Amino acid sequence: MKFPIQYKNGNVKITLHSDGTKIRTFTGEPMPEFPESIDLKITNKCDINCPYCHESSLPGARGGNIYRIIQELETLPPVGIELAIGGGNPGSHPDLIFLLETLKKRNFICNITLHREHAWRIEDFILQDLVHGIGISGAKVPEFLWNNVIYHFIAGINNIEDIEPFKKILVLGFKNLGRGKKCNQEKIKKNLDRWYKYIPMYFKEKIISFDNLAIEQLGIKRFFTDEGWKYFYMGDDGQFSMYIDGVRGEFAISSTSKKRVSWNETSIINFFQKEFLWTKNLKNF
Amino acid sequence: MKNIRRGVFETNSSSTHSVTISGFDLMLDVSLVPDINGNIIIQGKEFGWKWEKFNDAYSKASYCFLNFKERREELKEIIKKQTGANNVIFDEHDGYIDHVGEHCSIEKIEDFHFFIFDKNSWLFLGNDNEYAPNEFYDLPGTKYNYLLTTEGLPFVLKWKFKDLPTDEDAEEAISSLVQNIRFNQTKNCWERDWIFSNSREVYYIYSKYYLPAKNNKIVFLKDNLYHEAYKLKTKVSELILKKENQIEISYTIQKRKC
Repeated sequence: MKFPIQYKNGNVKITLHSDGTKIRTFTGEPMPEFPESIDLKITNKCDINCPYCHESSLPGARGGNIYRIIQELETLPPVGIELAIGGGNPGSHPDLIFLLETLKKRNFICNITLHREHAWRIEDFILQDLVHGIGISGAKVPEFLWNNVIYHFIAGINNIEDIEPFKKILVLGFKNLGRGKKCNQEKIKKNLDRWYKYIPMYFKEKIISFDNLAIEQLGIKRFFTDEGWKYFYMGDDGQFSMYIDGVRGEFAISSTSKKRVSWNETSIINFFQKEFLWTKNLKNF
Repeated sequence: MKNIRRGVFETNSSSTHSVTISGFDLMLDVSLVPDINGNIIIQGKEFGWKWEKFNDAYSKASYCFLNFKERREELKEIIKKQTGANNVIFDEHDGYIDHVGEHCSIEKIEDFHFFIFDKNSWLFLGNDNEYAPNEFYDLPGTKYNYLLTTEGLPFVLKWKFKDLPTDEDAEEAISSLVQNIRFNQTKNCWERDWIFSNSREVYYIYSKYYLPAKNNKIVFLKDNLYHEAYKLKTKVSELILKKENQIEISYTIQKRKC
């Protein structure tokens, strides 16, 4: 697909540029008909054994059924929906290249997150134009210099000073799930407090993204004017996005949601629309 | 309605990344950051001596601490909440506010938050001894479509306007432009502060009360008319009309070329 990509999703018009910039325009309440980005877990296998892994990924864990994942994704319109492919270590899945090639043909914009120990394959992905955005976790220095590489940090686990050498970063909130539950909560609280206080020092020189959990834990909304928040906040989990656990065959609003629905019971679009309306009604209520 | 995510693809493998900060557009002032001990220390500054304007959180907070002494604890809480600081320490130092305005009041505590941290909220400071300079009350990015320029002085005075000025606006601008100019016939033209005529030198000043600028003319009058009137036992208004007591320069107001 050639950038900029433009498509309509319900009453929402989306433009996606080659550097990842996304512009969404709509009149009144946005009413998307399908998710514009999906967080896709394709494996639970990972040999890094991070002590805080909220997915509790393990070296011997299994991968998802790529054919079934593709089958589910093919129900979506081929317009340029973003996929954030992760795991576990998605690079460990033997069918990853097949997945990326197939999804590229279906006009999905594939992005992937890898630990820096597993990131040796990214050059191939880029050269073959299989992925666009690349998230790297666990990095100490910015060794991957492609434009669309974004370095991931976890507030509460990484020290805030760790972000200093990097230009583009994504800050994730700490998830008290999986092995994360066993972490020293007092230490995490202190670490989060430092992020809360000092994160604005880095706004000037970096492009910093936050996931919804980090937004909440670090109080990111306090830095915006009301107008700015409406403009830059890309929505709650489930409003324009959803999660697919390709290992367990489940749909959810996000990876942290307890409420999950088997893909044997519904389709992506049905799940998204139902959850979207449910979330919206709950908000209005 | 528009949402925008700048410069990044969706790579998060746990939940979407939902806000991206790239520059300071539509953001509050984030320059107040706690020190290594988690404290924010604000010192009192001197305000009101000259024409100044501030939109940074530090200066506005300093002003609020000085001007709203009885509400300092509330102010500290507001700053702590915004910045995550453990403590906010106000050091009055040599802080002082001159020319406190009558309308300088903030009722609600949330208005303090807005005033201190919103960069579109400005603190304008001046005094009643002189007029505000051009562009003083305008915000950055203001477009000026009209320009007033003087002719006949050895230097050109200019004043920018957003719209075609009314006579009153033009007069106000001229008053500000020439407020410090003393015109001396023998030495051609001077720009001097608070120098008045003496026995050797006679200065001419502009006074909108005697002869307001109009018809593209600015009239400077001898500043010692009162002394002369006293000496000659005549009326000041009669002396004003005499040509030898006047020096006239002209001005034009033109639309600026884009």
